[in-house]
Amino acid sequence: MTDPDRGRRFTALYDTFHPRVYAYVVSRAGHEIADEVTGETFLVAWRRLAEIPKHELAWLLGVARNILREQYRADARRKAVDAELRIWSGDLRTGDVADHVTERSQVLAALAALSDDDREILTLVAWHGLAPREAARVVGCSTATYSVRLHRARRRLERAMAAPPAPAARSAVLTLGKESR
Amino acid sequence: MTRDVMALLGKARPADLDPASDAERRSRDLHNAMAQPFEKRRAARPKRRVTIGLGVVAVGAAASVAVATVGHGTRAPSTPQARPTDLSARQVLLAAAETAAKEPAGRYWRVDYASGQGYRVGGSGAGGYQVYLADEFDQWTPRDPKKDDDVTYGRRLPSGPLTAQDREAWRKAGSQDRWNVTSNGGPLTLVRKGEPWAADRTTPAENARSLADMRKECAASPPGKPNKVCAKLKIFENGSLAAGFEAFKQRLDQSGGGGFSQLMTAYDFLTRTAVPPADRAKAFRLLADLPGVRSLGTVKDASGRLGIGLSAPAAPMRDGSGTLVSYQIVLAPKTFQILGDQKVVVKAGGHDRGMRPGTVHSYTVVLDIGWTNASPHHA
Repeated sequence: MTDPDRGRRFTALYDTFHPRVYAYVVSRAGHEIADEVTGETFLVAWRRLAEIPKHELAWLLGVARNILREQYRADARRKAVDAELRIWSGDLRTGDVADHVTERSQVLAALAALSDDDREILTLVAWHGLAPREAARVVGCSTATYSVRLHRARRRLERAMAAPPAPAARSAVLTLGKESR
Repeated sequence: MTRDVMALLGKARPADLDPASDAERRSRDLHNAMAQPFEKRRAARPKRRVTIGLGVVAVGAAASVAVATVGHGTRAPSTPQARPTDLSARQVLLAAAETAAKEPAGRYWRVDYASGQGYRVGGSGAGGYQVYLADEFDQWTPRDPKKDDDVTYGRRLPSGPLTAQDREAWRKAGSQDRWNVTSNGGPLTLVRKGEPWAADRTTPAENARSLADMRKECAASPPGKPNKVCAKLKIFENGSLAAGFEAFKQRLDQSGGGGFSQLMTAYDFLTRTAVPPADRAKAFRLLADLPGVRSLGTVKDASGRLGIGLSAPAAPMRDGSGTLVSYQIVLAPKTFQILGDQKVVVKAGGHDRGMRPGTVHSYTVVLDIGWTNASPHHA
């Protein structure tokens, strides 16, 4: 591949997938480091442009995931997402108390109560639009394993939703407690 | 309860997961990625696929490199003594240009070099040390690829500590012969064991075949529409040597400002391409006009040889560590031959934490360089 071709392909890749990689990073580690990690993900993409498989998004999210896991402390990362989740589920305080808003904050509060692994399994599909097969590529397991995990995570989310809503601050503590295992 | 919790979760997707459009960030990200020196290195030698991987060297690398240097051809630029150097970078580069212009071209441009990359192991504390992954490449690039084979020999060198201090820390830690490190965001295992030489040879016949294929492909393309194959063909037919310097100038313009990646691009060009002496001289002169390049005076290369260091302003590593490194080219004091290059830690971050300022982050050590009429072989 000549230099200009390479540049063109990379720019197209960046323009197509930057928002999606960014969204993934925010959902995994919060806003503060999102630009940095997303930028780094595309640095790796440039370097390995020739190796990127057909499922580009799954590959890119896998790179971002590795960067997050290796460069950032898990507890700090989770704390950041908990803070984001508090903001997201607290949106109801902005005045709109329609049913869907309540439901929304309920499901986000339930998500906040789950483990980091469960959150990732669920949001790869529900927020980032990946099919279980692609999501399995991101986390590095088989599609079958992913489906089983997804099923379980989903059950836990349902249970968490049925439970009386915990104040956001408490759910953050719960989540952290789980993580320290 | 029959509601689909996944659908609910999907609907609850926070809008602020999506980035605000930011043209400045876009151009910064694209620029940072494409200015990366790494890929340039690979791109600079597309035909040379020695299948021993990227990384670098060294079993007690200082020792092995030193031995290799001593035992290598007569052309190895050796500089046993320090000499006070008060030449400016510009003066050094102009002097190097003059020397390069005088060197008569032979059948082959040969460069034999070890190239290593450091990793921090054993934590960032006092017990930790650096271990280097290293390869040696012996590249023979023909002046006339229609007549002579293009040959590269390569081998993996054993991994290990490089400095006396690191060897001591390694011994104290139990003299292990296997290390797990992080490389470009992925896990990598280094072993204290090298691999045998492998050769990669392209014959003129093979060159001719690919040339014929390219001609066919170019001829088959719709007329009036320039395509990649035709462009490549043109470079081949015009002679890769002349094209070499133009391509280099272009890459230099494309490299990020500040001198860092330009200096790296120049190093690759000056060590790895078989361009006529006049073009090498021109390349040195181009560098002399680069803002940001300065002379460091006398420095040591990674194998401990003394030379004149030229450096560009420090830049952060793009491997996720954010480690700030300065890039240096080392030239022999009297002959201005290239001794090597190195990235030296200014401030370590990420998985490099614990590397002290001055630690060699990665290096190449040139064992033999110059024109020769010999046929490709390695010691």
